[in-house]
Amino acid sequence: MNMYSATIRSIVWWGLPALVVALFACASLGNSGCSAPDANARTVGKFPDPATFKPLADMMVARCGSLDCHGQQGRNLKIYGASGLRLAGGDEPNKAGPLFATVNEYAADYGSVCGLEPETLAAVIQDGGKNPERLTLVQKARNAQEHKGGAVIVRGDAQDRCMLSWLTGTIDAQSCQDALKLP
Amino acid sequence: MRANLSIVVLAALSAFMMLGNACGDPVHDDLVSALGAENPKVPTGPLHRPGQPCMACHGGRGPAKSAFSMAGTVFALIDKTDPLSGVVVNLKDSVAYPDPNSKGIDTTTNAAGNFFLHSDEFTPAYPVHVKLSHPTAPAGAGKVMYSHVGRDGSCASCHHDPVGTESPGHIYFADDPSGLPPSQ
Ligand code: HEC
Ligand code: HEC
Repeated sequence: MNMYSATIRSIVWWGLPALVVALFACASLGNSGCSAPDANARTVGKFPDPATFKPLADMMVARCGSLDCHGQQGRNLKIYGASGLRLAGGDEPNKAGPLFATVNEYAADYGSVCGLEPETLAAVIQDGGKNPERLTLVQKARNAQEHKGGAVIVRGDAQDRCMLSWLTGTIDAQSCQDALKLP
Repeated sequence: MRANLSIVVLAALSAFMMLGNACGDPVHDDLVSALGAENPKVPTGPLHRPGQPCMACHGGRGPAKSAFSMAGTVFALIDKTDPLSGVVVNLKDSVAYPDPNSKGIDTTTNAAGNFFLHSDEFTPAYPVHVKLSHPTAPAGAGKVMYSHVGRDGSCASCHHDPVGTESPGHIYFADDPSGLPPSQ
């Protein structure tokens, strides 16, 4: 038994419990050290005008909102609409063909999209839609960031043009409409 | 001996975590067990478990050995759960759908209303568009699904009863008996 292994032994026997205690102490120190967030703090920033949202919402309901994709309760980005998840109890997925969403569903979808990364969205809007790939929304749709649904939007396609135009403040309704014809 | 105890606890904890990793996916296991046991009157095979999400078990992760890419059940009527056999389920994936020369892939329901495509005969490029027809049904009969299937090959993942905010209800061929093929 040499000195070296004795040292290892003593580290194992005494060092680990000490480490655990130290970790706990550190964690509780951290907690008490923090002050509560300022209750009056607000994210101040400009969001896209809700009046420009409908064409994008229609596109997202049809292209992203199926019940096996973003029309699911468990999703961070939840999309409500007639061909998928309904918002109001008593409503059901519409079988009569294309009708996109109710007023409340548009409002909920607007909240879903804006609520993902409000600060980043406001910054992109502030810059007139420049560098939209700052947004996870754009990254995921293009599969530039790991996306379960893969690359559903290809840079430059009708869906991409629709979404990016909304970020510039002037919605390209024609592209949003064209996107509905995609397979 | 306190030190001794904490080592034992730490070792036990890490063993436990490793065990957790080695076990299967609990979400998948729950999904499968929620579907319950086989109906003893129906052999385990093509006619079993009508209306259930087939891919929960046939999705490649067990317990069934055979893997499907798309499967489901078509019932005759909107308000009943009698199966309809002979329904042609037409599936067009994102390659077939925009191609005017492509008819997509057709498969036919069996006596339980079930249809299934093994993964090696069809690997859809999602999204998939769905249409139902029947060779002996009255003219104009049949159904079209307007929206598409985004990525789930089990029709019943979305189509289950009761109808609600998250489901259009079971798949059916006609709203009333006048839209059904004459009974054989
Ligand atoms: C709860 C699990 C479970 C569900 C749900 C389920 N099956 Fe099966 N199925 C099995 C098992 C287990 C077998 C035994 C053979 C095997 O391992 O593939 C089997 C066998 C089969 C077979 C024979 C094997 C083959 O590949 O030809 C067919 C066909 C089949 N099932 C169709 C269906 C259809 C259609 C549905 C949905 C309506 C369905 N199953 C739902 C578990 C399931
Ligand atoms: C992602 C969820 C989802 C999956 C998976 C799905 N459906 Fe649908 N289906 C719907 C929704 C929502 C509707 C109602 C709106 C519409 O017609 O698109 C619908 C409607 C239908 C209709 C028309 C109903 C009517 O009364 O007009 C048929 C037929 C249909 N589906 C068949 C199928 C078949 C067959 C499969 C499996 C190959 C399937 N569906 C898979 C969501 C789904």
